[in-house]
Amino acid sequence: MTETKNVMIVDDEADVLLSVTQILEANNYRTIKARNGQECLDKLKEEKPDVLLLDIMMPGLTSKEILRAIQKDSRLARMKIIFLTAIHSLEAEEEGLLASKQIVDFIEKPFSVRRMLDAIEKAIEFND
Amino acid sequence: MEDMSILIVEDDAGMRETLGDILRDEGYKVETAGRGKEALALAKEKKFPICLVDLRLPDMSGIEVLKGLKGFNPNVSVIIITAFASKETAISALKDGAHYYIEKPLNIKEVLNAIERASDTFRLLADKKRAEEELRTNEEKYRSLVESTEDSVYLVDRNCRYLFMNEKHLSRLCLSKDQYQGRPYSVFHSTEESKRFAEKVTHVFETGTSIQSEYQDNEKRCFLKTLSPVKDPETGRATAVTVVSKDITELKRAEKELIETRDYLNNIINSSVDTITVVNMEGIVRDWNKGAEGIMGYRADEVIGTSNRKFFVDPEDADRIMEHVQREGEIENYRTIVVRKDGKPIHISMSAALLRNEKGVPIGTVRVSRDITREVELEKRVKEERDNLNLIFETMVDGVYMVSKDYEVEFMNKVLRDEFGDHPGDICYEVFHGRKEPCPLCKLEVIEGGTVRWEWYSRRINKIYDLIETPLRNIDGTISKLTIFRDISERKKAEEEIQKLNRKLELRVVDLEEVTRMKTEFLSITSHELRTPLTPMKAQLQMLQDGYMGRINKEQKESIEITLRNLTRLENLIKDILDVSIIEMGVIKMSFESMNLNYVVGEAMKMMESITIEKDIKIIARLAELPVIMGDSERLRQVISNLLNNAIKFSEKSADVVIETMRVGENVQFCVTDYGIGISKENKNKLFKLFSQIDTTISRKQGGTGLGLAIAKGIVQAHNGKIWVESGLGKGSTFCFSIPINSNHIKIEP
Repeated sequence: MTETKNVMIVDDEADVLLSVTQILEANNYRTIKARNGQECLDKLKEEKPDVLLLDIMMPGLTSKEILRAIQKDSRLARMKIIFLTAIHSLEAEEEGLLASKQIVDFIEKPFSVRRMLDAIEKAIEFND
Repeated sequence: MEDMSILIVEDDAGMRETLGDILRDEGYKVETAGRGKEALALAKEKKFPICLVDLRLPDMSGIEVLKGLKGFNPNVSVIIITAFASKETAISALKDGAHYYIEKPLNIKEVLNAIERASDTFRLLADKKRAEEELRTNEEKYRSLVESTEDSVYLVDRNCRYLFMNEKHLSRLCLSKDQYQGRPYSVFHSTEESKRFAEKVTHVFETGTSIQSEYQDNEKRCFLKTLSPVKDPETGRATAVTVVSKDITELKRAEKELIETRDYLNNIINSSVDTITVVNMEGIVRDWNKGAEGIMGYRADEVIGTSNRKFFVDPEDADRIMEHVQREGEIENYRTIVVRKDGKPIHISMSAALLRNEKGVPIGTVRVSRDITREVELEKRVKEERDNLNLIFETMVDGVYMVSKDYEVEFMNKVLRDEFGDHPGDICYEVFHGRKEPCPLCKLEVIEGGTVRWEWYSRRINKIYDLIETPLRNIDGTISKLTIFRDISERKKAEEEIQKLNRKLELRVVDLEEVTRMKTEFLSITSHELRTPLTPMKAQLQMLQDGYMGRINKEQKESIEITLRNLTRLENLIKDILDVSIIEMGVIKMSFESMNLNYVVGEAMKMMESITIEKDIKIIARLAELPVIMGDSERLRQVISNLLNNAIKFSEKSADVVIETMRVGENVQFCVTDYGIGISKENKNKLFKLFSQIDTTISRKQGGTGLGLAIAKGIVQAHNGKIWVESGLGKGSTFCFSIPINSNHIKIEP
């Protein structure tokens, strides 16, 4: 086993946040949790996760605002982002976000465990 | 003895009286004079043919008297009386013009003799003089005749030598007077002409009769040449020949023209398609031209000499025409009907004029008739059509009026008359629009040949009219106008109502759109809210199932599976609700690309593999070669999967499902057929509506949300395509959709 990968999970739903954390930790990932966009950005000042799992429908900062902030930080350039959404097809605005190379996948809620793990594995392979 | 007056000039009175008495006794008229002057005074007053003059007179000599007398009358016969005869004196007297001299004492007998002879001489002289005078007058007469004539006149002898030629002929030959005399004809003419002329002259000399001939000169002028003999009055034999050459060119031309004119007129008469006939005062046909033969079918020889009454359908027409022509001298364009020889009646228009002889007595009528059957029929048809048109106009619901080029009302139909009153001859813009001058539209457009249409509100009768004004081109090029009035007051009112309603509806639509938007938003949020709790539920259950929380027994595993299966079902339902909400909003997002429908069908079939194996369904695919279309392959795959899934769902175990693709016209088409329960007619209509799964029991048995077909319809419609089903209860179903190959509505995105 190589070094432990860091995954940050951002979701306003505590149960989702918990479930994802449980799955990832059970699969040997180090997790960082954030309850909203602001918390996510705050924590990213100190952390440098390999993958960011970002719910794109949260109160507070919009996903677009979060993305813009991340893209300004060159430190985070190698970080891969996976969208989580409860809406199964993207709105036009979010679709535009996909143009960014940092965003590598898009997982619909409710997701299967397998799908989640596959997506993260692929995202990390990108980095390596 | 006629007027043989004698003047006696004698100074001896006895002698004078005695001599006078004797001569009077002899029957002469005698006057006497005693002196020379007295004698001359008398002679001045009166001409005395004979004078007896005494040579010795007291006042003057007899010779002087003689000279004086001769001066008054050159023909006077003067007898000199002398008492002493001296030869010299007598001779001198004779030289001076005396005729005789007698000596005194006078012998009566000698005197009478001398007088006798003097009077003879006088008579002779007078006769000669008269004859000479006459001859001269005649010659003058003839000469002026010969010279003043326009004809050439000349005289030749037996040898054709010119004896005389008048000025006219001189000028024709370009000769002067002294150039021709005695010269032969042949000098001035060709040999040929001279030979012919000589023959004619010889002929005249031999026969003593005139001959005439015509000839033409080099300038194409015609002449009539008459050769006549000049006969010796004593012997009666020809001594010369006169030739009179008369220029008859104009005469000939006139004659020719006359003939030509006559032929021309005959030609006209006979080539005329009109009938030209002459009927005498008794109504008997006297002339019948070719035109009449053509129109009436009778030959001239069949009708000339017969009554003209038989031609008329109404024989009294014949009398009427004759009576009218007799009274008025002519008749013009009299219309009547005549019968042809073959019995066919024809309409004719006849013009006739009275024909008079040179004394002005009417002798008949000349008639020109034209076959106007076609015109009459045409007129009849035109009239019928006009009547029909009038009937149409009169019964029309729309108003119609016509005006002349000067805007005068020529016709108004009943509708307009009822509304505006009848206004024949009035000015249209005054009657209808209360204007003082033509409406600008009419003036600028209609009279220039254009049609205008405008709406007009009549305040007076409170109606709105739709006016159509059309120009009518007259034969003379002027333009009249036809106007149609359509009362659109009701329609306008209705339109206003509709507009009011529309405004209301617009507001309602805005409301409804808002409602729809809210509804869709509600659905969207709801599905999001529904999904969010599902997420940890599913994650937790899967972790349990996968042993994240430690080993689980068989019962626990089954329990988790049941829960997860229903969780999946719930998830699908939410997914469909979200799809529908997007379709309902009309913002279904397509990403079009060039694609082949067959490829998408293959993808969909692959996805169905597990279910087909499970139900042992045999899928028969008949895929035709298809053109590339623009489409959203992911969305179309969703449609095909849905239809295929339905087909499999409603098939019995081990049944066949047939998939076909084909090109139909400018569309590609996909069909899937199952042999399941089929769909009743009334259910077919509900099929593509939301939540319309037909039988809830089936729904429960087969699973599914009932939203699939509504979503499919939305997607196909977003491709400008159509989706439909062919089915009957118990006969299975065929679901098809078609998509246009070239759709303008689909944007090709790079």
